[in-house]
Amino acid sequence: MEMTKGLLAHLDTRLSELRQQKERGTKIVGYTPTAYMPEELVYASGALPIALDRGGDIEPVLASTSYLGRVLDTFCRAQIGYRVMHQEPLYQIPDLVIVPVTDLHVRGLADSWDFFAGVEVFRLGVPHSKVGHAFQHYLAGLNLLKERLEKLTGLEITEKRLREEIALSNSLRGLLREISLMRKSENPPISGKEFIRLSHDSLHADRHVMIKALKSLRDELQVNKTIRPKGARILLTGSTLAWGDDKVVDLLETAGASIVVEEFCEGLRTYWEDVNADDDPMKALADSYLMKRVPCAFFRGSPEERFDFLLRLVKDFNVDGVVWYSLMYRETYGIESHIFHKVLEKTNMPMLIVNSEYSPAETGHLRTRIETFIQTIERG
Amino acid sequence: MDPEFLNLIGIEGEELNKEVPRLEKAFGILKIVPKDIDRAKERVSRIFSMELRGMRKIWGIAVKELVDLILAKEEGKKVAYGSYPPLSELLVAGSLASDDIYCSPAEAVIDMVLSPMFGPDKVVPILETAERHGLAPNLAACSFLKTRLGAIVNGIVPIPDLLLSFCFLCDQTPKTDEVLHDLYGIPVAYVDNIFEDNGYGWPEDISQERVEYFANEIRCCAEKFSQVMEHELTEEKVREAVALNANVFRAAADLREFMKADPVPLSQSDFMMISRAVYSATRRGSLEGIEALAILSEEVKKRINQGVGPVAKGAPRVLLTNAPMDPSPLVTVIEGLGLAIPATSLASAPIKGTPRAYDSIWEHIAYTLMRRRGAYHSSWGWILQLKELASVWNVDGLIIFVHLPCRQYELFPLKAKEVIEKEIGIPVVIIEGDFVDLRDYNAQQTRTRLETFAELVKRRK
Repeated sequence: MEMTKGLLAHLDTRLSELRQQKERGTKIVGYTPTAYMPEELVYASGALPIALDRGGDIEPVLASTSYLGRVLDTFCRAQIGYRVMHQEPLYQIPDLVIVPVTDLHVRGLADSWDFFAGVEVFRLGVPHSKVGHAFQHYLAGLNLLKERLEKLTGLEITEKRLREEIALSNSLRGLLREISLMRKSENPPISGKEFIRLSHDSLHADRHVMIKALKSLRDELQVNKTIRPKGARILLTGSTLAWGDDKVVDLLETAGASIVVEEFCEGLRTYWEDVNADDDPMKALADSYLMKRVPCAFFRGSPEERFDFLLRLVKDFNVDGVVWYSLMYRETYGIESHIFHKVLEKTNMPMLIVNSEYSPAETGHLRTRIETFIQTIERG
Repeated sequence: MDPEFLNLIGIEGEELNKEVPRLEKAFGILKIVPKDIDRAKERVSRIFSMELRGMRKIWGIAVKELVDLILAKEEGKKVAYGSYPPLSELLVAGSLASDDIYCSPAEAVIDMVLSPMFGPDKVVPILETAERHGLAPNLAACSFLKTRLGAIVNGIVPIPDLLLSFCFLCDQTPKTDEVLHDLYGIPVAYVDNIFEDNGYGWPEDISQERVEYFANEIRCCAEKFSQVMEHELTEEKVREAVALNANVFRAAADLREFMKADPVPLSQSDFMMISRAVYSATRRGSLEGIEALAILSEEVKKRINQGVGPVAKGAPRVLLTNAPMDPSPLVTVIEGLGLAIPATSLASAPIKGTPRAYDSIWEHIAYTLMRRRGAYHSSWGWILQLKELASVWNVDGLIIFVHLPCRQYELFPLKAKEVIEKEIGIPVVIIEGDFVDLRDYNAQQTRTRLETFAELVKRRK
């Protein structure tokens, strides 16, 4: 695809560009992509947000054992590993790191950076429900974040500026949504892996470059009638599908499956809903990021809303099977997978639950299980 | 019922007629056979100071509470289960709301008796059932929660009318309750909190926003209790419970002061059992605990005068964060190595600053919890509290027991070890294990680590 060349070239130079901007005084704000950190606020402060979303490597997980216990989510453990090992340059440049504290695993991530990384951590509290006082609390947290960002950059976040940033982020979300929805068609014009890559790229690239690239891709996909091999249509869901964690995606596509939609913290949740900034933009952010988003599994009493949404995706994307991909020890997703499996059984929808600890040793048995699952679906 | 066993659990006099048939019925449901009773007599007498009448009363409280739990529905009560660790004030208020209500942290009531009294294998079938219903096997999911789920599914305890999911420290609790909701349609009331503070300002600096959020959660939970249990949990009732709870807390704290004596007059096995029985937020603990503590107090004073204790006078003293319900895998080993354990992290330490006063009982509870326990505030709060306790109790070492499936325990120990070794100058060892599930317990490995630690502590003293 033509557009990806331009985007790839941009991403190739993105790190050095960020470093140059930092040298010129622009503040770089890292954040954990749990879908609860409005990047619009960071942009409006004049800083640049960068998602710290790398995963899939075993070495940082092993390195984390000097800082955190081992019975924690693999992705969350890996984050301190990337920082202390200097393996991922993006993890070295933030002036401030924002961690939306969603559950104990992410709190562990925040603690480990706070205790050992030598960079300031701002913890954004994320309530575990959508009741009235939860909304008020999240909004208060966003206001504290706003103050902190203003102090960091020395720029006031004006309502006008925030509205502009919201509009720009809405454009980006809208394009990702439009392209994602094209996969509802019988012949999806873009593979799951390609879309996941785009979704991750959108968390790192300059938004103007990304929007231009996505517009170009959308136009290209609308006329592109390439026939892809038809495989079992898969909904891939779970806790975290990190940037670089390609194992399960690769195994699925190699087995002949077509991932038509994926529902993860740093994926669909970030682009599914726009922010409606007609009213107070801070309230609009809180409304969109907390109240309108599909709840993660750490929400109290979340299954009903989550499962309704997942079942809607199954129907709308004409899914043949669900793959639930959890990282080790993320118990909220682990327990929820057990309940959802029972829900799907009632509809005769096949579901496979796989776990990972980013270990190369797990590839063999994952391959066997995934291949068998896909073959079972294809044989009807 | 074996009279020797009844004597051991302090059931005597007029209580016998009332309690023995109930005990027999409950033990029948638990499938406790005479062989188990013989084992219980041997274990309890070996591990705990059962020569003390107060200790036998404490065991009586625990066993009778378990019987109350098992027979609650059969005895016509509406039933609510809080989770563990409990929101004590709410549970005590719930348990005292009416004689027609049974309310407790069911998993704690079961685990504080089954494992130490009858042996850890008695809980295994319960754990295995939970593992077939969505909780990850072995150490990946909390054994308390496995007890909560497995005991209901196995029919050991009644299906409750309401689950009070105290998830302000834990994300596994609400998910476990979702499984129960899915299985039986039981309504769930959640009490949540948000850990957004780095904790550097604890205990003085507790954000009002957090207090309000937590308070609102507690209030909503009380409202749901009133609605489902059909007995209003008014602010007044909760205030009474807060006062009662504070009395029990004070009585236990007074007893704990005696643990500063040399030699330490009670084994920490005893003290943990006392703490669990009297302030696990149960009706029996709240109503009968103070009397048992008073009896114990007198007996412990005599021990101090006689210079009697589980370890020799002058033994090095260590602070232990917490320990399995069955003391034999850890506490017994530590004391056997000649280390005295005067306190655990449940002990109180002076808290800096003047506490804020709140008119609202909900805000009072929320604030008090976050101020009293560093763990209820932040990981750094945990560390600060351990530092404070290590100083106040003037210990020679710290043993951090990590309940492996608890994510809380995965966050702070490594930093706590670094800070306490550097700032207090005492050795710290981290021991991994489980409060209830001993299927993966490696006795030799634990012993080897503790032996090395004990040698280090003794050499430095």
